[in-house]
Amino acid sequence: MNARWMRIAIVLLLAVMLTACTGNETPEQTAGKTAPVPGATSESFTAMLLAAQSAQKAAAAAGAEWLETGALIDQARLDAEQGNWDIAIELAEKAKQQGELAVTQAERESIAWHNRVVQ
Amino acid sequence: MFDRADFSRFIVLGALMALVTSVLADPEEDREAFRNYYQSRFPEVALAEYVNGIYALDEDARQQWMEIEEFPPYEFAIEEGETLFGTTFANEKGYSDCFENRGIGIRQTYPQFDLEHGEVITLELAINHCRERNAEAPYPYDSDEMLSLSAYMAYTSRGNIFDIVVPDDPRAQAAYERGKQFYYSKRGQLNMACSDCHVSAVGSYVRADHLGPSLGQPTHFPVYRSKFGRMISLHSRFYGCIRDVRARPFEHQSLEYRDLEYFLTYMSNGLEVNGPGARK
Repeated sequence: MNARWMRIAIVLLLAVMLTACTGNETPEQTAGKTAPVPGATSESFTAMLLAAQSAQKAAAAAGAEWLETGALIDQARLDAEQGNWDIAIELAEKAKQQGELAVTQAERESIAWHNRVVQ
Repeated sequence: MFDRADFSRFIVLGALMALVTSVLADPEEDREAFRNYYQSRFPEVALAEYVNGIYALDEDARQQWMEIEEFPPYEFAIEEGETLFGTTFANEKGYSDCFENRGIGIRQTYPQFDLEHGEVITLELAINHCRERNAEAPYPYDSDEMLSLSAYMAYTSRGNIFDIVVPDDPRAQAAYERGKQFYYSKRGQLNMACSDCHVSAVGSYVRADHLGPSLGQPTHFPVYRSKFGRMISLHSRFYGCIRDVRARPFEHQSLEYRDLEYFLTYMSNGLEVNGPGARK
């Protein structure tokens, strides 16, 4: 193999390696993305959305809603409209968890606040 | 000597005693304990200095603030408030017809508990009630007009001593207790209470700023915030804090914030009105 063909082979090899690199994201790059939810459908999204809305309502009734819960539900709806069911379900589930945690927090604080009063 | 079970019993007993003590405490006992806490934490700071908030504790920031006070950025609000206060409504009546002492030098009596309606009335709410009683549209609570009126009424009260009253009425005591509970309850995704920053961690840094004491905080509102380039109300400050701990904030003049203001201002009874103020 002469030098010319050797250079062409090296360039092609580098091109293949670069292409492969762009397809492999680091864990940090993938951390912000949601993993596919097995069997995600509009029905499972609707069920999760209702559960999230119920949890949000309960948190608001306790005066303890967290800041992002409503935005998570809004974003879940937008993703659902675009057919991104897996992402939509994941966001709705996160909102549901926030609502439930906020209610738990409010229940705990209904007693625990007394311990912080300046004596 | 003490086994683990004994230790657990002590913890439970201590928690129960704290619970019983806090439940039985009356507002005056709360105020005394609140004041004593700050005075024992910062024995070098005179009680009267707490009306200056963090500038009572942070000498460097105090120097900057004193320079700002040479040309107070809230002066425009006072002037506008005076003009608005003196402008009669369409029915020829004015704000002076709605308030005691014709609305001059009364800031130290707000918030009040309204026995007729069974709720806490802040000065800003009373201003809007006055407007509505005289067939005028209420001002939005973060409007320049509302903040200027509030600033002017605070200015005419400078030097007067806060004297918030919790009447012998179960509804008033419940409002005070709700405000107290709000202040000491953790909330939001960061799981923090007002008291975590302004009692437990008072004087500590949050990023580049020191956390201010709650004692004396309501005395200087409304304030001109250099950060925003405008006047803000005490409820705007509440709103910001609640949002910062990643909880959903309540609306200005919500029952929650009015009760919180009632409790906090009662804690500052005996201190001077020094509003409006200037803050970074």
